Amino acid sequence: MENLVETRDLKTLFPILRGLFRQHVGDVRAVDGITLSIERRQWMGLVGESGCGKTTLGKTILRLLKPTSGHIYLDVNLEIKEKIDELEKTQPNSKAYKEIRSKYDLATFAGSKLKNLRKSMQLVYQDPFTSLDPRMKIKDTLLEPISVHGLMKGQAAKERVGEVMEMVGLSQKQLPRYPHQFSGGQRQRIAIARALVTNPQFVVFDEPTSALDVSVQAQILILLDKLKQEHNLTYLYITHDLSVAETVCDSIAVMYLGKIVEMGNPSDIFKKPRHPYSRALVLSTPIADPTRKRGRHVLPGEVPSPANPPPGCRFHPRCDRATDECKTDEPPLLSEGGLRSVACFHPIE
Amino acid sequence: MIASSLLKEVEIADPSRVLKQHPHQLSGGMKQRVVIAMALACCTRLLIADEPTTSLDVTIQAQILELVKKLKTEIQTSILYITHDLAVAAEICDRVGVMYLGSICELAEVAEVYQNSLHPYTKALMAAVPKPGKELSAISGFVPDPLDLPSGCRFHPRCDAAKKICQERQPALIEINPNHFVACHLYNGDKLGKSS
Repeated sequence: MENLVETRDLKTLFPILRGLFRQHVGDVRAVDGITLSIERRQWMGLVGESGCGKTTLGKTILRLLKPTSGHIYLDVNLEIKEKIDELEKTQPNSKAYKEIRSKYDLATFAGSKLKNLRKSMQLVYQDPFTSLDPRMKIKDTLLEPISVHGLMKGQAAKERVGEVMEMVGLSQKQLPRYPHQFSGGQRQRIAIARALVTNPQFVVFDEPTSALDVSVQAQILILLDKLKQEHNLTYLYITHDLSVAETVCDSIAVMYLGKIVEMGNPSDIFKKPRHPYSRALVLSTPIADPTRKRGRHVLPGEVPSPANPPPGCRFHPRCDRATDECKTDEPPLLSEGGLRSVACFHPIE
Repeated sequence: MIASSLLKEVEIADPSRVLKQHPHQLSGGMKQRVVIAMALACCTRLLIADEPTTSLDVTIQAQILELVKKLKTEIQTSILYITHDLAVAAEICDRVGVMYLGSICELAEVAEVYQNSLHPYTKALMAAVPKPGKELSAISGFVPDPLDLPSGCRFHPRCDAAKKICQERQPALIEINPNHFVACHLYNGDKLGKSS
């Protein structure tokens, strides 16, 4: 299947400036060389602990943040991507390379080009209590993206707003209300409606159910699945809840300190994790079944600071399989066929 | 020093350093350990833990849950663990009470609640937990406003099995099986059914 979204060696570093002259003393390496591809109509889960750069990666792909280096593609032919790679290797300073990048590589986009891109990629935030403007009626919240992008006017715009309201399981009668008149689950539906009103191809969800109760979470997950089928959407679903990722996603990427350590389909990652960090995550996740207690494997220590990541494999200080090699060399993310790839010198058999 | 021995008890590696620090200098997991140490300082017999791991990552949550389990046996304290996470409850609790709109609707040993849940609300909650390979099912509607409670059984507007009596009378919490309490008209239907 063809890839809708692709990143190549994407890096987003936040400079640390200190002292009177704002000297550059280092970087927070939030996203540090990520190559990721998401197939069309795929629901990809991105899991990892807080501070590992999940949200930064999502925002960089959407170009809400400017990457430090690397490439981002949305719906670009394989030949063009290969041509860009080739030009980068052979003549990185040529005009041809700059021209082709400015046409296809989202990392170079700015101004009106970026604005034009926004309608095909959208974001749903974690907290529906802060992501909606409390002073705006739902109708106006939903009309805003339409008017910003000049997609429709007058009656057509109103009809579109009514249509998305019904798509997410709310009624048109609720349009003149304010956000505080809705429950958490309903507000998250409104946030989803706002993301879908411009008819995007790709939506990033940043922990959309972590502020919701389990029964409401199930309603939202069922809705997302339905919308994905009906409107041919592609999702990047950021979560720290592994049981949600395992249940709903088509593929999963596990992130640790700015790097992807393992990718694969959910059953592989959960039943036979290859990377020691994925295994630790899986074993730390409680299961709602008192008879199926997992062999506890408590991971010692805490996530190191991304401003000063450990050398070599970033997981080695917490890893029980680490050797001298892990302390000095960084393991590359190697494909093992199919969706599966692992970045570890000593993967679990 | 008592303070540093308490910090040692909650497995803080360097108590003398941590004692001199302010909360903002500690990580989330460390802060939660300090709070647990505070709660245990007075030879606590009942510890009420209100969603102590909700804001933590899974690996840190696992550390805290291990600690809570260890302390429970070591200092022989009872714990009332408040959580919305059914998986966490399954992991550490001995008995589980399920609450809906201000009243307990089911109360039993942990295995009973998860494998042999009787109350329609408990059943619906279990079905809403994401489990791979299983269709997710959601509870229809949403929790009513606590200022305007439904009459009778508070769950009846969302319940598939609701009968007439459910709208009229609030069911009592009764022991259906040994140590398994349920508040639902489905299980004490006979007696009350006649009187309605």
